[in-house]
Amino acid sequence: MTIQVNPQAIPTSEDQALVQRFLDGEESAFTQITLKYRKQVYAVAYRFTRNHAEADDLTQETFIRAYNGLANFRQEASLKTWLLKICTNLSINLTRSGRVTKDSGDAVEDHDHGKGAVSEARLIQEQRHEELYAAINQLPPKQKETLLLKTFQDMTCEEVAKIMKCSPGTVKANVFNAVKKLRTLLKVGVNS
Amino acid sequence: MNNTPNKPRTEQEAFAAYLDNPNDAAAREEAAELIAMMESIEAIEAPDPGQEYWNQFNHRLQQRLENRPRKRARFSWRFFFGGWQTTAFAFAGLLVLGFLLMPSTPRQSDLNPSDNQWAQMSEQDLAFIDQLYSDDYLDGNLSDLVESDVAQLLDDLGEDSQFLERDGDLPLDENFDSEAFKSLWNAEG
Repeated sequence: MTIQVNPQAIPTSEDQALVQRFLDGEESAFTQITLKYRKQVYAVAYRFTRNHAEADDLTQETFIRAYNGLANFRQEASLKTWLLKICTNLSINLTRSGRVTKDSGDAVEDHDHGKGAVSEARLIQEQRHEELYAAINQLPPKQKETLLLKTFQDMTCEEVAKIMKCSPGTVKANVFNAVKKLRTLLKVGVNS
Repeated sequence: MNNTPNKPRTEQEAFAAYLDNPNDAAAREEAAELIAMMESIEAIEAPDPGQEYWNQFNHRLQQRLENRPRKRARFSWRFFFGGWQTTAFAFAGLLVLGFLLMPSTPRQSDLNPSDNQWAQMSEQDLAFIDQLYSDDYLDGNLSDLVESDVAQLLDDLGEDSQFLERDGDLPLDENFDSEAFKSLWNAEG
């Protein structure tokens, strides 16, 4: 009898093995780590910057830092959390520095939504997203960062707390205050 | 049995319950507006840059890893001393060690004859100094020493003293350099 094992069901031990292989000198193990997590890292970077060029640069920089720092990775958190933490910190530093420019010309085409004519519903949705992001950008940095992480790929409060170096209770309070403020901002109009 | 009626949750408490368990129906009802906003943010997905981008991604990453500037090892006191606790502990240890060793250890100058004028003296010289303190020759004060006293001393002790310029033609009392002796005496206390 053959037991089918879903690799996604045992990510931790698989990641541990990849890390160990890399530390033993097998460079291809790092390539596998990159292939596994690069889309999630890019998504976090894009959420913070809303700019493809910046997100690309942050994603590359995240993996460079991971390559250099993997020997110091103590596996207290999962590899995914560790990578997202690096990316989040880099993104926060970039956004707080004010050097992020709004996408102009190098915005990516959203391949997941297919090519062809853009429907009216899609335009309305994109406009709503823009308003939402404009409001999110007006939030205090901690609230904004916590909210973006919490709303990213079903991340738990504990995972966000590890990345933000705070308690899960603080995460919940920050997200609550952020959403409440967003509600107010969107009611009165972001630009007014 | 607990008869206390359930206290209605605040919006924040209901929202926190939803964050712990998105399927909490009561929480969804109590914080409906905030949860709807939260879900609209969750619905915003980062656009996928496309397969062409991802095909190039690892190749570009590899190039950046190869071309990255090598970090120069920067000098850091932390490298030697670790954290401040280690430094403080080591410093305290040195102080204790120094304190323990200090009283029982003689000065190096005491041990090295070449650094100590008294250690260079012959037994004759030491006896000479001892005699100077005696009441027979000196009444407690070096300035009262007269050359005749010294001559007497030298007669008693012989001619080995280093304070004598050895000139056989002159009487002993004229060979004695009393000023040099006094200055040495004063310098050495």
